[in-house]
Amino acid sequence: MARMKFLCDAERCIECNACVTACKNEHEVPWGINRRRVVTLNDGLIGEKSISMACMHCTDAPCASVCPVDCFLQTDDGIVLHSKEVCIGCGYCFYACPFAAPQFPKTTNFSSRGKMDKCTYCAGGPEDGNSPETYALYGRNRLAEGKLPLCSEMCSTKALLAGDADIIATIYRERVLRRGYGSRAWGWSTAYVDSPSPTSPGQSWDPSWAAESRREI
Amino acid sequence: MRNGSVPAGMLHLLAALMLFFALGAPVGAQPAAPATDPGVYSNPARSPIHGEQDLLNELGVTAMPDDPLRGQVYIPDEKLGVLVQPQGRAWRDFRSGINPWLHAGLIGLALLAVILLAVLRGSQDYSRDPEGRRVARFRAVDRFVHWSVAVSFILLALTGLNIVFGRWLIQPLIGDVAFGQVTLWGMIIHNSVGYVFLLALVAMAVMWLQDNLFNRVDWYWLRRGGGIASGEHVPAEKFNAGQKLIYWFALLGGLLLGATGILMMLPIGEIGLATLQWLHGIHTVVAALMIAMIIGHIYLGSFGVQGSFDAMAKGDVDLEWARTHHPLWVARIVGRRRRRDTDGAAAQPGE
Repeated sequence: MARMKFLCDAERCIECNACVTACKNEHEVPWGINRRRVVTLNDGLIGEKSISMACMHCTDAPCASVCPVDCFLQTDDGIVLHSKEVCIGCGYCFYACPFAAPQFPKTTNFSSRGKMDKCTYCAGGPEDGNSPETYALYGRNRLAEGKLPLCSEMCSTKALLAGDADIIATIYRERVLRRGYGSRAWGWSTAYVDSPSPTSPGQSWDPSWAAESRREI
Repeated sequence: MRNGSVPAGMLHLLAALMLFFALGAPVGAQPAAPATDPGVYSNPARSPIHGEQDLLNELGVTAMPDDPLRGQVYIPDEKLGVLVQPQGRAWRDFRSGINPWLHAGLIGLALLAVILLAVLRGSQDYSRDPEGRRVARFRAVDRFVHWSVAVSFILLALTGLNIVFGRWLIQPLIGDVAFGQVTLWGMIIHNSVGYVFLLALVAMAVMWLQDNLFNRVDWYWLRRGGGIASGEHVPAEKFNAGQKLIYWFALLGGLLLGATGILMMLPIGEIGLATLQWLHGIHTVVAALMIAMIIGHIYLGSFGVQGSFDAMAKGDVDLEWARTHHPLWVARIVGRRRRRDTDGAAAQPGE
């Protein structure tokens, strides 16, 4: 069973922001919403690193745990999705998210938070398929078309990897060994209890974790 | 060598071995690959860490950082410059783990106290005034303001408790989409009615301040425990010390709830995530305490003490009820009325 993850190789990222732009264009993300962004640590200093960050699709997702309306679900591939039909835009997921992934459009009265929007791993909404309604709410379902997330496909230096965790972890490990250096896989230790590090053998993905948190919506 | 756990002797040995291999290898040959996966070779010449295992150990940092990792972003949304915020984990543990139990515990304790009081003491009756004389206790404006606070508080408490418990108690019953709608409207009510509550609370506090200042009578009342244990009627003024305590706790708690609640509605980027997490914690803990306290207040003002509901419903109370529960207050107002009557009688002929 595949377990989909993102891995950003900070040694390769050149902060070109193509992933950000690709994401916005592919899903027609509204103005002011950033499902993905590039964070540069130690900007202009020695040891500068850029990391492309979005929802990491955590194994034991904090957003799903704190949601007052329990609008999240996790697919068999480990992708964390949410239902905008159920979401109330309270912002609790942003309080809990380690990666500042949830986004809130200012659409409602008094410019309060609208329904949450976040990276869907290009897997559309909680409903299967690629209907226009799903596209309008969540963006394109590329996974249903057999494609991987566009951000990583567009990455010019192949810094941003997306796909099955075992495969991308192996690629990263080989790179590290070949180069002789590397920073860690950013966010992995925080997001995935099943694989604390891409360089040490962890447990493999168990879809029953998703089954525990998954609900019919 | 950044990895401090490796003994220096071993590193010397490793360096000597590498030197040996480098010298011994034929000219033009690839550097010897350490034993690793087939197809993968490391580049020891460029490695800051000599040795595959050292490198992997270095990378295998699994602990979440203690401090938020902040960086630079090109987009104007500065709050997205946070790469990792570890305090979110603590907030999650509070929100999903501690908080529901805290609420359930406090509300459960309050209900238990009320039930115990009802079983042990029953509904406290009083002897009616034989002539049916009544004393005015609350003006219309007092009652209006009190019920504005009460109704808004109950609305706020129910919609707030829905945020804490609804996902477990109500969602399985009515379905996800319906519950989403209910909670959405609950949140809108919560965020709007909060202002009514705050305004009415301040008005109530100002109107009743004079009657809620503590004095020696209250000290005596508190030392006797309000007569809850003994069943005696400890003398009190317009409000007994227990009511005064409720006044002050409601005022302080309500102001805290109002302040934290309004601040929580500000945009996240304006106020900061760490502040919001604390505001939420204060808001929900104070709310739990307030709900527990108000459960006791509702019981004592209705079933627990007969005749007391009249005060807030009709505005006047039976004279004998007032003499039983608030003798000092009755003595004061009856005395005042007598004085006024006699003053009036004396004044009339002169005019």
